[in-house]
Amino acid sequence: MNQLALREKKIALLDLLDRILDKGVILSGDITISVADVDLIYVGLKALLSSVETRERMRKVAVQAPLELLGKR
Amino acid sequence: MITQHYGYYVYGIAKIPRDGNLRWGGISYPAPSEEISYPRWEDGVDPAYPVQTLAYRDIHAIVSKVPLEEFGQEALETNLHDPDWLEAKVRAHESVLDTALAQHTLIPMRFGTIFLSESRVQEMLARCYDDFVDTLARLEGKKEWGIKVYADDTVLAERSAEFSERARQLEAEIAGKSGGAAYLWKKKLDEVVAAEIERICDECAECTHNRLSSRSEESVVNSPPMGQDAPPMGGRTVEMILNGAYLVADECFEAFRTELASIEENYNALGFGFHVSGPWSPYNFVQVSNESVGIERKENCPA
Repeated sequence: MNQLALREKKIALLDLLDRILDKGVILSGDITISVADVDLIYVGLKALLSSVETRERMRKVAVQAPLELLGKR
Repeated sequence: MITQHYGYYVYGIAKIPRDGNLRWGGISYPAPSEEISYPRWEDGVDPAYPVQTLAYRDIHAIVSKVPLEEFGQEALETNLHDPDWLEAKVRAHESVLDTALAQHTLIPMRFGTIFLSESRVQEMLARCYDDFVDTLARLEGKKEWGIKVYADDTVLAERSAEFSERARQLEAEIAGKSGGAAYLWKKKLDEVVAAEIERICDECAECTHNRLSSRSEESVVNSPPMGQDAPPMGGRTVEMILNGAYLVADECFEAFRTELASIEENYNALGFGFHVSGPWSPYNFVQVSNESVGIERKENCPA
């Protein structure tokens, strides 16, 4: 998946998570997720999403670096 | 003692149409007085169990059975922190509601609402019946649309003369200067440009929200999701200046889109980007009376 499509997909997922975790009706079900749970999810997701971006950037660097080395010879 | 193995995961509440048939996946079924099972048009959060409805008078809870070893309180709290699990379940939840949204007025539940038995679901429906009926009436024939507006600071800095008289004048002044004087004037220009960019962004956000609200039944401004801005692309600085949700009557959607197109025309030349998402189940518009037992009122925080 190219960079633009990946970005679009990520934005769509964040949009969805924002609604489904933080909006909608909150009922006192027998089992529910708490506000603390939601906050922790966001922290974890943010870390994951930055690491996805970092991996993408690092992958690009890894591909380009050998070419640059060739150029310097 | 009976060991509980399953719970009922609740996706949302739907209204039974006036002719008494609940349409699911394009086929009509007679409105049931007890639970009936529908073909699995969309997998629920556990593909092993079909999506069902539980009725109470003229409203339905859209549910599916879930194993408590995965969805029980402790298991759930653990699984919530597995991003792959969370993404899969969240998408499944949404696809169930998307299917229902095409045909029914819906009140979406937040993720992870589970009851331990059918009768517990029925109790909840009975308890919240009046609020649900009022909310469903308010939402009937309307859909939620999300509009996000992005500003590109690089473009705005380059084109400041186009939207700022002050910047234009300063640039004209600098043209005749050189050396140290030019440097100082340039610094002044940078300050003015920064302030003018803020001004034009506020104007664009406010104008967009006001004009779109005029075509909506209800609207709300939210802070960017998860403090999210668009990821930087190619070294540009892009920021989200508006994250709005709009409840639009189906028959007004054309007017809404036309209004948006007109706004885009005004602001595209300055590099503002407009992103539409939807239709959504009305997550942002389901505030329920907090007088009902067992319901918490969910308030949206203005940006």
